[in-house]
Order: sequence, then C-alpha cells, then structure tokens
Amino acid sequence: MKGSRIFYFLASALFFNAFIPASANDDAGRLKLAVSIFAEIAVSNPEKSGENLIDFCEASGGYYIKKTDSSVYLRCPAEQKDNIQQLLKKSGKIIRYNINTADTGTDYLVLARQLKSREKLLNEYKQLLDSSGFASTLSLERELMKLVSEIEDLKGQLLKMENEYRFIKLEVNYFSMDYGRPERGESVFDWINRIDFYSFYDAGGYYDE
Amino acid sequence: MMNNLKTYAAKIKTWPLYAIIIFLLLPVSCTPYKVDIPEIFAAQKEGGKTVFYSPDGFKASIKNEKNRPEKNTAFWAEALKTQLEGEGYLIVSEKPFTSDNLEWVSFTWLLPKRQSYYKYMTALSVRGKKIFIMEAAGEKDIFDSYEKDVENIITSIIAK
Repeated sequence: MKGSRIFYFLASALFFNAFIPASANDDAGRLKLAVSIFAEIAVSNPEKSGENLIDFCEASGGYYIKKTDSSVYLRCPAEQKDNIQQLLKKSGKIIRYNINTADTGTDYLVLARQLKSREKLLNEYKQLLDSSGFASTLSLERELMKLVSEIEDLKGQLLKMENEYRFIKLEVNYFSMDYGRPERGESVFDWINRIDFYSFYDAGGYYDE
Repeated sequence: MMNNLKTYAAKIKTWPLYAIIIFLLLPVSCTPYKVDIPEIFAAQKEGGKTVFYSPDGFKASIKNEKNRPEKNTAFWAEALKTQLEGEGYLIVSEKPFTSDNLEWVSFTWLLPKRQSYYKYMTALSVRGKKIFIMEAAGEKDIFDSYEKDVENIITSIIAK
C-alpha cells in the first residue's frame, strides 16, 4: 500500500515538475552568445606574435589551449573581443578575420529549468525516503541515483555553456611576412609551368599584351 | 578558253577578301567557352583567352589548355596544387564551383609583392580534351572586394 502511494507520488511529481515555469532568476531574456574567432595574420615573427597574444589573454583572465610555432588556440574573456581585434590588427596584416556567434540562450534556459525541477524533485524524494519502508526505499534509492546522475549531467552542460559565454574561442594562424618570392620550379606538365602569379599579374596591360 | 581564264583570274582576285573575312571572324569564334563578364570590368579577347581588368588593379583571365595526357579535374587540380605549394605559395582557400556543364576546383593563394600581399586565384575544370583555366589576382583587399564577382564569373562559364 505504502509502495503504491510512493509510486503515485513519484509519477505525479515528475508530471508536475515538467510544467514548472521559468522563474525571473533564470536569466530569461538575457542574450547568451558563444563567440568564436578565427584569424589568419601575416606577421614578421609568428612565434613572438603568438606569445604576445597569449600574454595578453592570460593577463586579462583567459588561458591557452594549444600553441605551435605558427598558431595559437586560446580562450579569452568575452569582454576583450574588441581589444583582441585591435591587438591582431597591430600585430601584422590581417588576411582573414571571421567571427561566429551562436545564441544558445534558449537552450541554456531549458537546461536551467530542467535542473531546477530535478533539484526540487530530489528534495521531495529525500523527504519521502525518511518515511518509506524497506521495499520502497530500494526503489526510491534507484530513482535518487538516476536523478543525481541527471542533475550532474545538467550541471556539467550548463557549466560548459557558461564557460562558452564567458570566454571567446580564439584560433589564430600566423604566416611569416619575411618569406620571399617563391622559387619557380619546373613541373613535368607544360601548362602548369605557365601558371604563375608574377608572370600573370605583371604581364602587359589592356591591349598591350 | 579565254573566258575560263578570266573567270579563274576573277576567283583568284576575290580570294584575299575571303581570307580577310575568315581571319577577322577567327578570334571571335575560337573561344571554346561562353562567359558573362560584368560591366564593371574592361574585357579583352585574345584568341582563345579572355582577359579582364578592374579600374583599381584587379586582373583575371580565362583560357584553355590541352588536356594531354587526358586526365580529370581532380588530377589536374592536385598537380597544380602540388606544384604551387612546392614553389612556396601559401594556400588560403580551396573551393569547388559548378557552372552549367563544368565542375571547377579553385585555389586561392597568398603572395608577397612590393611590400604588400596579393591574392591569386587559380581555378580549373576539365571537359573532354580541354582544361579550362581561370586566373585572378589583385592586392589582397582589392581581390577580396571582387571575390563574389569572380565566383559569379566562374559559375557563368559554359564550355561550348
């Protein structure tokens, strides 16, 4: 009898929790933007430029993921977006600068609501656990374990999203500005030897060739 | 006999006229492709080659080469890419394009020239015994401003 009461309680709790409205504390209406920047820059010293960018990023509260001789992968605080652009412009000639933004605010709100309802449910389960019999305790424990795992998963997802809002994902590839005019090599295919930027661009002009 | 000789002489006299007409028509009819070039460019046809210029230093051309040995677009694109990369060209992008009857592969390269950086695009497509080639180049920012026009031109090229 007690077991069936618990079952009805669990079922109704799950049902009603699904309809809990998002409260004012859920950051409703706030824009949640995940920003990523991809840049390619020609600089005189790729390694030094990469180090400068890392220093700036770390000084402003960010961190770096990976660095090679010609590229850096960083997480920089979102509020530094304009400063990053300025710094990259100053460091050399920007070949490519792409900014991508994704507004995942709705997803965030849904997850936050799910977390809240599950936490509420967890408290109710705990209260019920105190007054339940042996058989009911076992089934409640199973439900509790499942619920705790769901809560941890939701918290993880929310933390990841918050990190994405807080930090810009920044990838910069550097090219050396010091590289000279490429050496002309011979291809075994004749027509390929006629494909060359310098001879193409410098050859004659309108009605002159 | 005399009449025959006169007719024959008259025919010989008109020969140069025919030759001139054929010669004048030859450059017009010998491009093996059709292309729509926007009015913003000054275009010039030279034999099988079309060259066009913008007023601010962008240049592009369309030409064709013999597909010998006969291979497909992927083969020649790879051969060209290998060659230019081997020469030190920096690849910026690689894109496929499709026009009515041609499948293109284009590479955009970055090169230094006179204290500045230039972009150079090479696009090619194979159809039968011909390799269609489009080249385009300009100072980086100028090239970027015409990139969309270049893409439109590539996709307008139709092999005859």
